[in-house]
Amino acid sequence: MNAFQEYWRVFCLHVRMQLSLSAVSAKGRKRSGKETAKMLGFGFLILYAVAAILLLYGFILLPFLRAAAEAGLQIAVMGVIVLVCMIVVMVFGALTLLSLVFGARDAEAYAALPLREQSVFAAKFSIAYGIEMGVTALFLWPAVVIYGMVSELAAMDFVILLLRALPVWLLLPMAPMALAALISMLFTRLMAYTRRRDTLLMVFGMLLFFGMLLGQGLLMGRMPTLEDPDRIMEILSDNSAMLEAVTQSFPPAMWCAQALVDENTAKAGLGFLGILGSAVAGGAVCLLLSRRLYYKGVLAQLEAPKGKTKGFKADAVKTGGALGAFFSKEMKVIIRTPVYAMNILTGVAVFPIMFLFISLSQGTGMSGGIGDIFETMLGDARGGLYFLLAAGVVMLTAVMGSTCVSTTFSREGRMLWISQTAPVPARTQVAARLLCGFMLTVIGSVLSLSMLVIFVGFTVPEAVFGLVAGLCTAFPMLSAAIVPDALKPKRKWNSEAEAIKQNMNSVLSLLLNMGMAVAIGIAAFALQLLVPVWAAVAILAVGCLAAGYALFCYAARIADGMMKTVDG
Amino acid sequence: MIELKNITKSYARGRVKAVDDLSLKTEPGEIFGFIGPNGAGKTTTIKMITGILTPDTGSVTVGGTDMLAEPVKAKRLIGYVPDSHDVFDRLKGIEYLNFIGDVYGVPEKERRERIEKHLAMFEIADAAGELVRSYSHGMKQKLTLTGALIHKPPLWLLDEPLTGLDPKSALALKEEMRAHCREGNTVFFSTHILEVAERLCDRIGIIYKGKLAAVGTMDSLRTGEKDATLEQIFFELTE
Repeated sequence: MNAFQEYWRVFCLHVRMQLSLSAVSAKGRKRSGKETAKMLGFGFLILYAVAAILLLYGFILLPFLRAAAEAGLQIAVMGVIVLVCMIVVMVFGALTLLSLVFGARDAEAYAALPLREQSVFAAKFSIAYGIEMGVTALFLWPAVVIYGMVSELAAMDFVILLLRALPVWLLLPMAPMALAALISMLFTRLMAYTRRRDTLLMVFGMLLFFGMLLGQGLLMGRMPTLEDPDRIMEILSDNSAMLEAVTQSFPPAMWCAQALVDENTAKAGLGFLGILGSAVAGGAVCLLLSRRLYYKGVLAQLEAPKGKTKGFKADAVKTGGALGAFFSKEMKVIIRTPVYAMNILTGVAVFPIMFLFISLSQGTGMSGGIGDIFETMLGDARGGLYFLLAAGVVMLTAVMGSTCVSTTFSREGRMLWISQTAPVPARTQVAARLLCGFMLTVIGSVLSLSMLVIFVGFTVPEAVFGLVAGLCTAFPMLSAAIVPDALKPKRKWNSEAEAIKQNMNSVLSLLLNMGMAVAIGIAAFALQLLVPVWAAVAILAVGCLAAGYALFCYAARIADGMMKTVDG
Repeated sequence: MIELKNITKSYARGRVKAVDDLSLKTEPGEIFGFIGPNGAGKTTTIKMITGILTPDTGSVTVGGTDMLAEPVKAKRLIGYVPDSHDVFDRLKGIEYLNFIGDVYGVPEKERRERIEKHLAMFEIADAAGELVRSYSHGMKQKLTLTGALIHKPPLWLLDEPLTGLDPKSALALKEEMRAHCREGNTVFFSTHILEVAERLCDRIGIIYKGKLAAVGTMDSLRTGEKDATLEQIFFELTE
């Protein structure tokens, strides 16, 4: 087999696995009406989720692009969209590559086969590239369509715009993905030399996350400021100068924007050549380096870390209850598994970090920044509404952190036999897993509320009462989030990332929680119009606790049934 | 100790019968060997005894407790070692054992003694403070064996326990199985190593295509030739 045939074989194999095509076409496999209905239901939910996200994104984009079109700055705005998309692709691409390409369990099996390592690398890279093309599509296509609408293009021009967007969409992820692959490849190689690989991987993930926020900060920093009117006039007078100003940190973004919408044919052509050239160069460098670095880095992960082994010490034997044992196991596994820590901890830490970054970049205290925005929005009504906002922050933290409970059984994978054979009722096991989600929600919420107290001017009682009320709403949400995973955990996975990131239970729970958060928010708003705020909160809290308990009992019953039927 | 009454388990909506109307009884103080070709239904039967799988029909009783009616009570009596040896690999060896100890409610003194004894016996005491993911296949197996013995279970249930063990550890395991039985407990294990089953077991069950083809002591299994080995009996029944 030549290198391309090898690549194609491995690529097709992974496509079949990723899309579960083998299971679909298995001989003798016929779906019952119920199964088909369930599958269609899932499909509808996914479509609904994607449509909702696109609608929200379009809603945000429309006024921006309309204003940009009126000011003749549409290329610059498209440049910003492309740049943000590329930053997101680079950060999430690096995380996808680390789990799919550099941290997969099948690396050893491939290494034993007579395959060129660059063929295996290229096949796996292509899968990750396909995933990031999906992300790019969500960013790019709505922007292109809205751009066409606000520019009031004729039908033929609209078609040409879509045709121009097609190669841009295909090539756009290449430059950031190549960068992500190079960083990940060097990083994996570096990790082989250290004993604390998991810690290093976690730090790297966090740095990437902060890097994304910093990248956006850098982007905002490059925008003209009100203190520099001459510079504004200079940039505003020329659409291309504006584009260059915002994309100077990453030229491929400029080339993409030019290839997409520049009316100057020569510039558009050069832009297209630019992205094609950067894509080819990026891909070639990655392939060349993968011949020397890929297996070395990946296989080194499988070796036992060098260093002194830690033997048995009698005082390491500790006793506790079953609930505590499951809770502590769950927390340890999350904290020690980089991909779980990055997904779950980042979820609950996203609000405090966002508040911190916004506050630091816009001044501190009530005198400036988001404090002013809150004051302007709420005016004299602050007392009750600040308290409700604090509760809302806790509720959203629970939504973001629900991945912890919504993938709890899936994350055990082949280890589920331990839970199945443990003489501990499913109710206790579910309680321990919920407690873990609750604990992370509390940590994230306390951090967020502290930021609001320090930077926005929330009072401590507002924050504390908001925390208590918010945690009451978190109970039904977390209990509901565990239900899909208790019903049907994803037990067969090749990398830990699959257990959490490519898990439909996580998406379903997120949708469920979002729906519940909206319903609770509407109920809170309606109730505080009818009764005093304290009474509204008391009614909601009691209602949420009752609903939470009912959902918890239901989840425990479902988990009990699942653990008796799933083949461990 | 174990009583299986007419248990049946099908997969693929009844198209494949993994275990077909199987009945079996084991007594306290005996080592019971469960043998059969690949896909005969050994692991499915063991999983039904542990409560991982629920039989489609029939009943499973462990130490007089119905697994379906009182699963938590029944599971307390079992120490299970699966064939896969998948353990929480982000826990340290000692953390896994503490987890199992907590789950089975083993008091600290007994727990320390048993952990110390079995870690030393399987020669993995030096690795107890390391993450399980750094263990070899055999070390993981030794850890699950230690975990299964931590609560001194009246029924020790092992699925192919000798696969992957070094000769010294295999010998230690066989001696431990014998010692466990001497204390009045039951050992039920599946294996493909017929010589071991022949020498170690008090009684042997042969499963073929989901049905129990034969069960009894070596002597009672020798229906034809007087000096027939277990291998000869096995091939006679399964070909």
